[in-house]
Amino acid sequence: MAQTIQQPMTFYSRWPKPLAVIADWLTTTDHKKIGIMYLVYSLLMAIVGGAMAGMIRTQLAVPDNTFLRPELYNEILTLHGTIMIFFVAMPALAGFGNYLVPILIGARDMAFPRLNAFSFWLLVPSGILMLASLFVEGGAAAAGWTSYTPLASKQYMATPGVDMWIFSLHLAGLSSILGAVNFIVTTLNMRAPGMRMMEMPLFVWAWFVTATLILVAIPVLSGALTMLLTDRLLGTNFFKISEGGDPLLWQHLFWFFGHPEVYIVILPSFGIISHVLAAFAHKRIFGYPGMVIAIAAIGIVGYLVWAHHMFTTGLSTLSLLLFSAFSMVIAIPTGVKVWSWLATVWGGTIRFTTPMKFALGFVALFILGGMGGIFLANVPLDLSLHDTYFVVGHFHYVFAGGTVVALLAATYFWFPKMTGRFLSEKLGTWVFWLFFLGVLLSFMVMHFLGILGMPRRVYTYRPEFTTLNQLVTAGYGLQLIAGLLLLFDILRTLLRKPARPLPPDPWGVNEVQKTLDWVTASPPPPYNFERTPTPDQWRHAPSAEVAR
Amino acid sequence: MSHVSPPSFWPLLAALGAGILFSGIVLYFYGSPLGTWALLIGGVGALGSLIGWATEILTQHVHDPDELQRMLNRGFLFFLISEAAIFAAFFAHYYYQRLLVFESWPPAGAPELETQLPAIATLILLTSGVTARIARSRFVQRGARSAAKTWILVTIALASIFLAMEAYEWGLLKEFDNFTHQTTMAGTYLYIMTGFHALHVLTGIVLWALVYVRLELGHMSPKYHFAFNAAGWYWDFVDLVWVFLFFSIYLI
Ligand SMILES: [Cu+2]
Repeated sequence: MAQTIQQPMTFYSRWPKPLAVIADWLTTTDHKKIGIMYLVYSLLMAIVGGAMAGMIRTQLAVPDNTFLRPELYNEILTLHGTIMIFFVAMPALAGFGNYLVPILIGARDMAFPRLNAFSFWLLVPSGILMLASLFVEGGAAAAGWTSYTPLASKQYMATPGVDMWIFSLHLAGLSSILGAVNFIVTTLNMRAPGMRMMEMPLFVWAWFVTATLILVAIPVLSGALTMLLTDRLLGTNFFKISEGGDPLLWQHLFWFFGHPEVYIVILPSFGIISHVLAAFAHKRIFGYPGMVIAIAAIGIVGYLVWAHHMFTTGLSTLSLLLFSAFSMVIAIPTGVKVWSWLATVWGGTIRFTTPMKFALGFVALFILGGMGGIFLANVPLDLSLHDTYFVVGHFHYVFAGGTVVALLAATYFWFPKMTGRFLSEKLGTWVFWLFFLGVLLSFMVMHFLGILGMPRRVYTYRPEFTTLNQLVTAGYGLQLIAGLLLLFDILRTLLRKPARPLPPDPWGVNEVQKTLDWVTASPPPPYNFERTPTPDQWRHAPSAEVAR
Repeated sequence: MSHVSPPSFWPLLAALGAGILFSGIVLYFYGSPLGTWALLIGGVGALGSLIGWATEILTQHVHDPDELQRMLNRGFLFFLISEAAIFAAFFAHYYYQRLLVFESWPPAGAPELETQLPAIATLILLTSGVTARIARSRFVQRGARSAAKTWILVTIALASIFLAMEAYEWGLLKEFDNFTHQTTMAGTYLYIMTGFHALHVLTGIVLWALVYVRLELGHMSPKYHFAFNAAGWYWDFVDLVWVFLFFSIYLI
């Protein structure tokens, strides 16, 4: 029955086959197809951003290397950061969110399907503008992903690359804002009849809170970018110190966006990890209400900590104290989450599948990354660690070890749901260990380099740092091999026809922690569910906990 | 077939239009002859796509209009939060400089601003807020379509007068005080913040024109009138921001 109505999209049935397929993807409003396009986009951009990381690590393989000119090094460094955050992490999370949120709440689609398509397509010109800026006269933006003024002002960086960078982020920002509105209304209005908010899976909660963060944080970046743009193109004075302005204002506005941005990419990752850990520990998620409250608390307190990026700028003692204290406070809800994950796994019947390995790896790396954060939230320590490789190591632990590892867990976990075929478990084990050890090596060593005093964002270093830098580059090599293996496996699996169709719950995980993604077919039909899901499909009997 | 949303080319075209438009701005400011063309193609493309998009929606069957209206209302209000956050960034910038950085205001080289004309403009804009509400209540509560249309025209007229007065005031400042967006921090705030607001007023006028056309075509009923709600809320928002702007830039 499900098979016979797989293809109700007959709009292009009279077109020749390849054209019809292309037209179908270009015009689709199906949240699953849009989700997959987000994921493919993210993967392509990860190749670009990863290659840029490779150029950076090649340059830094030996001191005084001439592989990249210093100016080009700065451009590559700026674009690597911007691309990884805005064109890899965010689209990938939006991709999984698009694919999964409607299914997890038992809906047919997002609230506004056309707007959803628009959000995705905005990323295409946005990405093109960003990459094209490398090829204009004067080169791309080179002031780092934070583009501090006055460095990014017309006076010091006259290239149109900076303006293209700004417009690219305007498009990406609009995409995120419209997407956030869509996620919020979808979550509030489209839940299957009878599903209460406190019954929603944690991934849905995480995305809901993330969407509210996007809604407020991203426009502040857009505002600041607009000011920088009018300064550059119209000659206004927003960030001109010569007119008596405060040079720190850009930093305040940027980090008011920038810190919540950290949570925009980590909260959905938390959601992913909660699903995977419960599934393969064969237990219900421990302390669900606490997890929801922790996500919300992180979302709110995350707005009050931005100046911990500015401890060395001469803030008043009171500001230092408050921003330091609030930054430490975030450790509490984060700790709640980590302990809940450990309690979820504790005493479970653990199956060490590839997604489970990544999820456990996430917890380990995230604890390490979080600990570095506590060092940096401490004002006296930060004064000496600021702008060293310690900071670079810290945020790469959280981005690569946190978000990217969670994305890899999600990829392995939901690949059978999306495509009807499993990725290789054997290769997956290799991908996991290579990536895990690569992240551990590269970014652990960066912490040491920082403590020894190597500054960030410089194209060369003193000879005594050579060995440690080569270890970082070696760690990059491990991550690169892991990425290539994964890419190979994805292509190979997609090109091969599956031997037999997969059941709705191919992992066999839906008995204990029930979620609707394992109720519908793999892959789901265009309208997701043949019949509107009923509460018994997601609600646990009150005795379930005891019965275990 | 279930209620799966049909495919559409418009989101893709609108996104490409926006991308070309933005590229056009960069090209234009760096003196490329392609700039004007890109601005034209991008602008027409984006706007045309939005119109095509809107027309397409009208032709489609709606499964549950009550629920759709609830979702649209909610979505629009959440979108306004984002709009408010953009203005908040500007206000934060302004007050940070004025309260924490500058010892005296206006800074040397900027004139004391004349408040009479802006005050009258403020009254006119606030009046248009009242006429907009009258238009809505005439239609929603009494179903009086033609009365609603008249009040919308009055709203648009008042908004246009507001814009004209603002432009006139900018002209005066420029001509007699040689005060532009490049003259001191105060000039930057005055022109960019009120200019950004003026763009919103202009958008509001377009929204009201759309509501007028949809009333004319009989697309709305006292029960289903999302466009009316959206234009109304947007207008309240634009009014509110102006009150803050007037207070911040002209009064204190
Ligand atoms: Cu931070």
